[in-house]
Amino acid sequence: MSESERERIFKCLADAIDDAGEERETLLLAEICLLLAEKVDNADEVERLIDAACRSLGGSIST
Amino acid sequence: MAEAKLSVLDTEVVIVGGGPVGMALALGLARRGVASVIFEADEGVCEGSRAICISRRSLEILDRLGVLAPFVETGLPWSSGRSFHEDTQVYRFEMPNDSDQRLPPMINIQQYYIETFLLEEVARQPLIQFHAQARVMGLRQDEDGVTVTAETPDGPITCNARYAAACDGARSTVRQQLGLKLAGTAYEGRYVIVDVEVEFDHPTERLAWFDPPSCPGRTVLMHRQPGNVWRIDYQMHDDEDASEMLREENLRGVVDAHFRMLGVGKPWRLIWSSSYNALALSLDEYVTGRVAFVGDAAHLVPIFGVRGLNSGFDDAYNLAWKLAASLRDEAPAALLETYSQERRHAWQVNISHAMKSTDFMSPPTRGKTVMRNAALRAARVDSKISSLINPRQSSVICYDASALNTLNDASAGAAVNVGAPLPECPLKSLTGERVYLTRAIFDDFTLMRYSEVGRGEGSLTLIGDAVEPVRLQDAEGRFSALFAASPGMAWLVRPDGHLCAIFHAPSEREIEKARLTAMAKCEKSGAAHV
Repeated sequence: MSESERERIFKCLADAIDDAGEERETLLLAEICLLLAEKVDNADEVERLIDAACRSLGGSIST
Repeated sequence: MAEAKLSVLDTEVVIVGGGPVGMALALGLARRGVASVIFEADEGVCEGSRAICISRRSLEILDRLGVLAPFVETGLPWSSGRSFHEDTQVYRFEMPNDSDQRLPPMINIQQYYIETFLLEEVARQPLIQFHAQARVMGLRQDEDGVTVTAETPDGPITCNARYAAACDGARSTVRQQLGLKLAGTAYEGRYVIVDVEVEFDHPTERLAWFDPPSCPGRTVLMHRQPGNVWRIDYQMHDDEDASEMLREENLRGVVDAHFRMLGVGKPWRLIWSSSYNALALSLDEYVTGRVAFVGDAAHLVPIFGVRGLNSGFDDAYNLAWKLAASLRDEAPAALLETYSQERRHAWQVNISHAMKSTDFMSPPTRGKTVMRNAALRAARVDSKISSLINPRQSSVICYDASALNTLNDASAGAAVNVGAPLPECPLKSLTGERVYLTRAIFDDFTLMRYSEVGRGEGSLTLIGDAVEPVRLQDAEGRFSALFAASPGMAWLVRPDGHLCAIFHAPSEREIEKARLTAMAKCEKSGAAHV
């Protein structure tokens, strides 16, 4: 992904979160994650990324 | 009581606002033999660091104005920056700084130094009259000229001029006088800025923290300045009152905490403080009748990316040669209109970058806050995501779509294309001394002709008006590589250093037509106004 494409996605996600509103943003992001996981089509890789994100928040998932 | 004496001045250009931009414009005009009167409302130079980062392009302009030396002697050069999330570095950038460069990508220097150095040069110029404590009270214009009246401690002054330049900043009096308004976006995110004096031996670089342990939930920026002065900018929370935040005990609390985090053990002294919020505002047109708007009087840009004063210098340098040509009746009104078109285009490019930076530094919505915080964390997992943290520092603007450019076969896909400012390039004089291209070009138009002198070695001849041609050797092949030059090629450079035409073995007629185009004397049909 080029830098400009990455910026475009960043903005798109930010706008989507604003559009969904605070009460539904978690649902929105979870739905996007599931859709993207299908596109990645590699469960091990997706789990690794989920674990990495959890660790950045001080947690982890058991796999 | 005796009536105050009325002074009447006549000049070519009256400049309202004697800050860095107004002075740069006056110096640019003086180099072209144009007289100006500057009215500055304040008594001395500014307080506080204010605009502190001066770009390479601005340094090139200051060099052309004859004032570079004190900037280079006093300023602190830098080329890189680091960003931290909490206590982890998540991004590092390096600005282009190869061995061809004569000047650093950026220097840090307080605005009071900038104004002092410019004022010293202004005082040396017989064509410039500088009036301090001259508060402009009125401006009127007609098709022949402009009259500006100012109040001074010694009484009123009236200045008659053929043109006026409003360089009087964000709260421009001239803009108000003409009933013009800026339009655009005002961000709600606010920052405190503090200058402190402290002995802290750290390299000069841009430092940014997001949610640091020293002040959770805030964004903090730090820049080193000359004289053991550090500039610290930190974000205010939405519910914080600006006047409370600027109270010394509150300033000390934040700075103390941040210095403790950095391990700064020496005592520090508060010098100056202020606050700001990011603005992206502009006039629709930068020329109204015989009044040109320059710098913050014309447009405002968010502080992130250091585009404010730097774009102001570029405005002044773009305007100076066009005003001079208009005053000598060498160009039609259309030439001045290109100042407005080109610099408004520059503002649009600047804010396209600056607004992304501002959204990241002070996200204005929940969505952008969530994404910003997610990007800062995700950057630790995948470094490619750190490109979102890029502060997008000020860079040169190309006038690709300018009406002053000549488009032809040579310009299609050119390595350095029309509209671009000349890149730096080291060359050699015929006696073997190093000569830099951005220094070698003339104050007026420069035609650069490339030829070969045997053994594949290139030669560049610079041809100007009323000056002897200058022949330079492309001894290291840098010009040839940079410009994809081949024998017979030529480039026409504008007085402000932007390329406006490229040729393969041009005739004199083609060169003359390009010159007329660059002076807005050619219609689109190709008919020239001579």
